[in-house]
Amino acid sequence: MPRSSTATRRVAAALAIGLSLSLIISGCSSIKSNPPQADNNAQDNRPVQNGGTLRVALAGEPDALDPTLGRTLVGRTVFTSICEKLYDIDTKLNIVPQLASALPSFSSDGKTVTIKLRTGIKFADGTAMDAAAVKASLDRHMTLAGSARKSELSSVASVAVTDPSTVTLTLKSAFTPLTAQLADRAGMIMSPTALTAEGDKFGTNPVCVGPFKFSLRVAQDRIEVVKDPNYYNASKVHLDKVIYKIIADSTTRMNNLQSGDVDVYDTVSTNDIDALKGNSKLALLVSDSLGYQGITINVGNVNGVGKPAGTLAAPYAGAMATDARVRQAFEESIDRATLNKVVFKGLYQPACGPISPSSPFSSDAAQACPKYDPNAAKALLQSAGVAMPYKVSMVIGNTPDASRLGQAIQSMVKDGGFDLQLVPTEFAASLDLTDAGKYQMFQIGWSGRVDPDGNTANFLTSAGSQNNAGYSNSTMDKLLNDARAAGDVNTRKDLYGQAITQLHKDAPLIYLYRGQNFTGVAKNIVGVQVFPDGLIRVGTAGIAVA
Amino acid sequence: MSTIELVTVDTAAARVPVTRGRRGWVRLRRNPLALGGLVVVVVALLAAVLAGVISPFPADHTDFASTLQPPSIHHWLGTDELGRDQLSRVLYGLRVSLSVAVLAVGLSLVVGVPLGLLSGFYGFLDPVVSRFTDTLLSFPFLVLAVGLAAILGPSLTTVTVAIAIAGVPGVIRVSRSETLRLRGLDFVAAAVADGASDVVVLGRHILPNALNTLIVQATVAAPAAIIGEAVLSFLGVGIQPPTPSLGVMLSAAQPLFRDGPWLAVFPGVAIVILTLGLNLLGDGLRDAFDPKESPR
Amino acid sequence: MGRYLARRLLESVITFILVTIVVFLGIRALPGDPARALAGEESDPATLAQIRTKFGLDQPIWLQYIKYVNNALHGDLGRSSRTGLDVSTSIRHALPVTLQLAVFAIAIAALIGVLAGVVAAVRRRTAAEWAANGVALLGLSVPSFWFGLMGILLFAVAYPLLPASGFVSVFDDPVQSFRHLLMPAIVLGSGLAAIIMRQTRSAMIEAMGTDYVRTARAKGLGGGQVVFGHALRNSLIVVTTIAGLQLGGLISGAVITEQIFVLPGFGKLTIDAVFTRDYPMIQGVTLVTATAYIGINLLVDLLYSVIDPRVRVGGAAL
Repeated sequence: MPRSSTATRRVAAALAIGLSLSLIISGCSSIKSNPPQADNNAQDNRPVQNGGTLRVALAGEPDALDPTLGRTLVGRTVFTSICEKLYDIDTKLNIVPQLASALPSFSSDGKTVTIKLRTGIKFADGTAMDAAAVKASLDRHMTLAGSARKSELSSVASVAVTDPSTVTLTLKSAFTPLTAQLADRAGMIMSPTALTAEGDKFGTNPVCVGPFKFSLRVAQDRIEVVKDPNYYNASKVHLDKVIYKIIADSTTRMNNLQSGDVDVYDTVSTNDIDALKGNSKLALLVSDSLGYQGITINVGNVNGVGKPAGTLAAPYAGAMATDARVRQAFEESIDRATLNKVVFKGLYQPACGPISPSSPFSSDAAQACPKYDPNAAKALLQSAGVAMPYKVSMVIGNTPDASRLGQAIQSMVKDGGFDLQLVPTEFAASLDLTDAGKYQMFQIGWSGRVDPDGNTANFLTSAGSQNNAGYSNSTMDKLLNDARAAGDVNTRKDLYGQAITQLHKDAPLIYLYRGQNFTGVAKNIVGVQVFPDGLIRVGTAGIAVA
Repeated sequence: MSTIELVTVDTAAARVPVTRGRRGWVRLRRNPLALGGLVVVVVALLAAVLAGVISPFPADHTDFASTLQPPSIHHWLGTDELGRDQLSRVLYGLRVSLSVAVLAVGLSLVVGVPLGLLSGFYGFLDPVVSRFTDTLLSFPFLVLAVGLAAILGPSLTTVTVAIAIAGVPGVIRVSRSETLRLRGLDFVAAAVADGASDVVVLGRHILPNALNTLIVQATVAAPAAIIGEAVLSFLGVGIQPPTPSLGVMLSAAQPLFRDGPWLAVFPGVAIVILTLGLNLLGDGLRDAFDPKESPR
Repeated sequence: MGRYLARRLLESVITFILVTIVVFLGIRALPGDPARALAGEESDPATLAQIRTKFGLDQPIWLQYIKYVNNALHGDLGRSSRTGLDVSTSIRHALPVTLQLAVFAIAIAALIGVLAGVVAAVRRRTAAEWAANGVALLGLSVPSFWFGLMGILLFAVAYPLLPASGFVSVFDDPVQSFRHLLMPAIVLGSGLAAIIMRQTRSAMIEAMGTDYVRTARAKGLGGGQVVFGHALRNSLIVVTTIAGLQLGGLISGAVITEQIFVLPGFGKLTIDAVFTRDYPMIQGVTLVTATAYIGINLLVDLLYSVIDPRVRVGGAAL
């Protein structure tokens, strides 16, 4: 087969190079980094059409659409359209009534809570909402097998119907964060008719109160909701339909927004911010986040999460677990500002504690930050009697962002005397591993809750339900338990400040950064809102009149 | 008569029929495309082996001050999001990709050849091995690989094993059909009649003569192995960062395309050139040694 | 023929049973407590115990296997542990997507492959042959996912001609369906096209060298008539056989293609199930895949045996 080797090779090479060149030419842009200002509330008074379909690209697939069983953040986004709650938050993180008619009133000992409900509200199937329906939902949250709301409502002893529009909760002990819990899934009220009909299959066809009602769901693909005529504020709802498309890859979500195949891009990656801002047909919504990303260090998890702490055995035992100086050294080897700049283009905020600076419970003590000083870190390691480079391992996620973060940290802590091994692990598997205590360090974040108790207690109190560090310190326990029982904001502020100071001494958790909630929206869409809880709210959104 | 033939066979280990083998190598030398492929493969192998020597930087050397630099004098292929030199990473990545290919193909040969030989030689083993092969084939490669990665944890070993498993059915098939073909030839019948044990017949007579076809099979499987590793690492179940593998680099480059398009181009081009070379070489070998496959 | 059929049928059944056992045991080998995998962000031991009872995860393995097979034969493949939706319903929604993609891909591969193969065979030692061979080589050498990514960036983002992702059924809107499936089908079919091209080319060359064809040409029958009459018949056989044999490759390819173009098909369903440890879903999709694979192979073998009697006698190098 006499063929000229050059001819065929040339064809192949030309094709490859040509393709690449055309892409390079079309893809050039410069890198800027200005952290965008939170700008979610600009009044948009453009007139809106009646009708139309909004397409939202969700960052992941929700689990069961059942408020009692749901555990995913994206699930909560869908719930904002179809399942309203007793309470909600506003843009300033204040709790406001939604299905309730006023904030709950607490008895003087904090153990009796009275909630008055709005009247004249109907579920999507026409059933009227009353105190009995609320009791039914709360009871289900507390007692259903597999309920994810049990720990949230663990302080509630019983729910009683006082009159058709009032419920009274009796608590086992004072628990101020209860209102915040009722501003999330634990406060979602489901139609008793649907509950009786579907039982634990409620999630396949949920019926609640909301501007929209559930229409259909195709696994791995999309969830469709349609306008609910029974909604008490139906006159303010403009859209006919919202389609939540499940697109797990951020680049694909961006591509879809740019090509006009979707209108909203949930959870914008920092890589796409510049392109979004540079595109005149697209707008960027920004809000501060309630959550954080950090590193959890295994200091005593031998028996599993939620069980009492113990002494670690090989291969997880070592100076990192037993000596706070080593942990402090690790923290001082991380340059949070550079981390933010290199990995996230300076678009996020460095964080050194669990409470967001925009929270009403923040204080100077809460925002105190250990300095970046790799030489001091080395000195600490020396005084702890540890040979350098000290070998440690860290479980991280296998997403591109986690990967970049892990490699950047790995490179930084070398200067502090650490030899960091990364263990990229898929999310579900990583939760398994770390709950069982089979790890040394774990890079993980938390989506954040309105009440600071939600960002601290379960992680830092002895045998807390999410305390997979196995951390146990009686001073910390007292501070946090007092803080959740106290009613006054200033008292609580002070207590949390003290807790965080203690936290920096023991360093079982190292906080790294706090993201911002970035959402991309097509310019012709009006009224999409994202609050600091990261949920996209489209209840009163609409398509601008052309 | 039989003695003479035995002697002929014994002294010419891999050449029965004698003329076919020799003519094959001559044919190969005359095929410029195949030679081109050979050159590419050899260069890639050299680059991979010498990566430590010829790379301007270590593969994991970060430089936060020069992140996302386009190709320049200092960095011929640019730098990535952590300031690492892409040329060095492509060279080390070639090493990783080639190691996986060599190990995986080698492993599938080690497992598949004996199974194929045995199932071709002993008729009663045939259905057993065939069921085993069919079962393996019922699992699409990616499902198998992702499942394996979930059980064993993603790593170079897991990827190698997964690709090896995917290659075993092909190897079994080829060695089995070669065994069946050679079994019927006179020189083997002569050896058997002469009292040679089964092991000797398989090892000294059949295997060496199946070698050519097996080599061709290996060069066909190698590019598939390289692309397989790239796909698995791209999906996140293969080689894990910060180890540079061409697939890992492509996966990390995808979200950064707007800021650093060169990050996606060079690893991809490296894969294409390497597999092109292997394909050309494989084609050439097949044409040279397997006359019934050749269109002439 | 009857004996052959019976033998192949028995073999298929045995393989099928082996596959189901492997799957069943295999996913039990996945690390981590499956109950924990269902729990997600928050959980407590009491919840885990309840989940275990609900899904029957505390029973002996062989009992779980029997129960599962029994249910499967009645069409009940369980409910997804992640979303609570019916596994069989999800599969039923996903299969048509992959089927449409695969058919489109095979069609494109056959079109390009056969055309290129014929051109290469007929116009030997010309630039056209080089081009055809070069394209085939590229199809085999370029990783499909890279090809797909470059395609999206060029044809959806840089020059918005085609959608970046998503699926529209051909039965709902043929034009949109074509637009959404064009790039994925090309990406999926590229490897197949290369293989078809080469096989067609060598089959054509072999055919053109036979006495029958040479005689026909010598007798004055038009070259085109002979070539295309022969080519068509040979190609059909070639394409069918290859498509059947390459089915495993097509399914693997579909997995990555559906991932990149976000098509809610069977491949994506499978991968997402493995990633999220959705045991009921993993079992369901692997069962369906194995059934399809074994069934189609059986069909191809039977077709082949009808065409080529040597195969039936057994032992031929298949």
